[in-house]
Formats: sequence, structure tokens, C-alpha cells
Amino acid sequence: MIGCSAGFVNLPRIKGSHNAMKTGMMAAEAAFEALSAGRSGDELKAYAYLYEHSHVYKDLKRVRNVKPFWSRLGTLLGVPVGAFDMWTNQLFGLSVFGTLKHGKADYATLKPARDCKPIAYPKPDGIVSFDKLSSVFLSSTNHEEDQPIHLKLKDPSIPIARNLPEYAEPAQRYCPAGVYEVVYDNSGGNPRFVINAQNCVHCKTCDIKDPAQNINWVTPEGGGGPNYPNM
Amino acid sequence: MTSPTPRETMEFDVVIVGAGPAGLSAAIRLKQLAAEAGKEITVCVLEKGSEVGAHILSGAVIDPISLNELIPDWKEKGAPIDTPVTDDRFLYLGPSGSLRFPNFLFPPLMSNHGNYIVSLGNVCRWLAKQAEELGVEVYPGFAAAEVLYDEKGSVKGVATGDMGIGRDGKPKASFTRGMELHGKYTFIGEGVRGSLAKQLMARFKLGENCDPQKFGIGLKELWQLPPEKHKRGLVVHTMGWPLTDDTGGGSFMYHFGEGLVSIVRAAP
Repeated sequence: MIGCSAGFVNLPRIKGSHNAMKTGMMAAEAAFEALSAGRSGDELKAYAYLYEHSHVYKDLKRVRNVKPFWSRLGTLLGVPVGAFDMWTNQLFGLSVFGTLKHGKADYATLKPARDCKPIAYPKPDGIVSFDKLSSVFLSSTNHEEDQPIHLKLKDPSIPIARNLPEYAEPAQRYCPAGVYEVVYDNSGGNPRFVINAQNCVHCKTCDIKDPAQNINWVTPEGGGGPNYPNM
Repeated sequence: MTSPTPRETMEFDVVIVGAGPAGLSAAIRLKQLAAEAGKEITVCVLEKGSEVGAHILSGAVIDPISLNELIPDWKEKGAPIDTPVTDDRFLYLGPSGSLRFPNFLFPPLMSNHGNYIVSLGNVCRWLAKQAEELGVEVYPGFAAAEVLYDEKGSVKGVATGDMGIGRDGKPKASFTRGMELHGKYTFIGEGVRGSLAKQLMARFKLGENCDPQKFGIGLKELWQLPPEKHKRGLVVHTMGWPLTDDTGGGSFMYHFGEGLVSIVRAAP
């Protein structure tokens, strides 16, 4: 696995392309050496060795505590403490905090809807802010409509039976492309979970964030998805 | 979806899933090494987007450290990397104003001096061209849908999805069976939370003894500004408003190219 598949992004620098490229190059070097020796299909141990001796490793080691600090302390405190930790890492190659752990997986961090207040978002003004669907339109997202839905529910009853009462079905809100909706009949009852798969911009947020880990993103027909020209 | 029709198979030395910076750099490096050693090596890259770059969405300010190693003469080769960062600012936003942090507070590793503002999609299009010139086969429009294993349980390649299956799961008139791409080695460069990577991590227990992976989501807009408002090379990062203190994240604005600004809001 190379690049973001293995999570080689540097969070505080908000950069990963350099590490994506370098991990690809190191995997190539390890594979080339193996192919030259007549090997195939085995574990490329040289890739791990090259990684541990690369600038990618150094790049990521220095910032390893930043995200755990932000998660634990919030922005106002977490950013300066994270900056202090990066200073000691850069100047002395060490952290006084050692290596902090990440907390829970992202799907396990949601609070129940009853413990939260809905956020009142201002309506899009059409000048600097826009609604979701007009933004999806700009992404030129397109999928062949007559194909199986590529967002698979392991258990189709969970969105309405479990996620709706507990979390007000968060897919309606976290999906940036309006793929997921809960629709009601005319009397406001009988909720149904609707998946508008053709709007999917392939961000995989649903696969990551669904609290029941019930949504499995699989590849739609090739060529489908957004068509970004200069992004 | 099993179909009785057997799939056609193509054999390569290395099969790469995903024509992003990682997959394309791997392909280029393989071909470079083969050329240096006077060997023949076959490499293919699958890309689920309609073209290379169609699914890439990034800021992006890139650190050229790896590109300098891979293609040292990238400038001469016409890489679409022409906006060096000239000014780096960091703001804390409130609902009605902002506070600028002095740059000396940040450790040097955070500095964007020497970095470039780019469209990563266009960088990938250019990398794909470099790869193809070296003889890499790049196949956009084909999604790697399935990992293939040999009898020992090792990965032996991937299969592309069948095309032309209806919503009901039945083949349509346009039905085309997927292809098997076998490689002596298979690289997965699908990007964040790849669907094959997820299966491989589960099957080979790659997440064992590791912390959970953390993710973020970002929303990007590309603005065209009138020339008098454009400050080519300016990089502005912000934190604070409109996010609450317990929601990590922030935004950035990168002025690049001819009047373009990348605007991204992100929450890790």
C-alpha cells in the first residue's frame, strides 16, 4: 500500500503528495530488486526498511503528536501545545510527551442526537455560499444510472431502526453530496432511507463515519464519479 | 456478482491501482530502474476516474522534495508547477475579524518556503504523460473492484468490475465482463480509505497493534479573481470560526496560476 492508502499524510503541514510520491518510489525500488532476483508475490520487506530510513518517516515522526493534542485539548489549547511539541521534535529530535495515542476510531466518536443541539446554518446566499446540490453539479459528478447501488448496506434496517433514533441518521448531514436522505410520507411518518448513489463524489465519508459501520463503499462502474478539471 | 463467463487475463510485472501521485510515481520509478539496468519490465496503472486527475481533489501546496528525486528536470519537462509560495500567513478567525499569528511562532517544518501551489489534478495528468512516455500502460475509466489471490493466499492481482449491469443486478445488453490483471506485485494506491485497501487490511490484519486511522473531510472551491485582488503565491491558513473549539479543522486560501484561488475548509 502506497500513499494515502496507508495514511502517509502529514496533518499539520496539510501535505501528503510528497510522501505519496516517495512511498510509491520506495515500493517501486523494493519491487524492482525483488523482480530482478526472480521473486514474485512475496512480502516486500525492503519497502518497510526503506520507509523507516526515508524522509517520509522523518516528516511524519516529528508531527506524530499533533492530531492527538488537537483531539484532546481542542483548537485554542491544542494548537499551541502541538506547535511546542513540533519545536522540540525539530530542534532536539524528541518529544517530552513521548508518542501519544489516537483515541477512538472515527465511527465511534459520535454523540447521541439527544446530547446535541442542532446547528443553525445560515441559508446559502448564492454569492459566497451555495447549497449542496448546486455544488455537486459543479463537480460534474456522473454515474451510469442503471447500475447496482455502489453504497452497500450490510443490514438495510439499521439506518431507520438504529441510526435514526440514536443519531438522527447522521449520513444525511455528513455526506457532502446529499447522497443520503430520510424521507417521510405525507403524514410525516413512515421514514425511509434513500440513497442517491449517482451523486456520490467518492469521498468515502459514509464508509468511515457510519456509527454502525454498516455502509460499505464499493467501486461503481469505471469512469463514474466526479470529473474535476483543475482541482 | 458471479458470471459463468471466464474473465480475460493480462499479465504484468507490477499492477498498480490508482493513478494518483503515489501510483504514478511508483510506475515511473519502476520504468526508470528497468531502463538503468537494461531490463524490460511491464507496469500497468488502473484509474477509476474517467481520466487521470478526474477524482483528485487537493489544496494543494506541494513540497517538491520527492519530485526532485524522481524527475530532477521537471521544470524543463514542463510540469504544471509554476507558482512558488511567496507569502505564508496564519490567521485565527472570529465571527467578525481575524488575528494574525507571527510566523516565528511556528517551527521551520511548517514553513512553506520552497513549496509550490499547484492543481494536483493537473500534476497527475502530467505525471501520467511522463509514465506513458516510459512505456507504462495507464487505463483510466477502469475501477479495480476485486483483489485476486493465488492458491497460497498471496495477492496475485486485481479484477476490474463488470460493466453494463442493471440496477436489478442483471446484465444489460451493454454487459462486458471485467478483466483480470495479474502482477508479480500489486501496489494499492487508491487514496484515502480505498475499498480494496479496506479488504486487504482486514484479511492480512494490517491494523493489528496499531492505533485507529483518523480521517478528515475537506470541501474545495476554485475561484477566479479579478487581477487586482489576486496575489500570486500567497498562502493563508486559518483556524477558529466558524468551527467550534472542539471541532478540529480550519481553512486555507492559495493564490496561484492566472487569477485562481483554491479555497478549502477542512475538519480532520
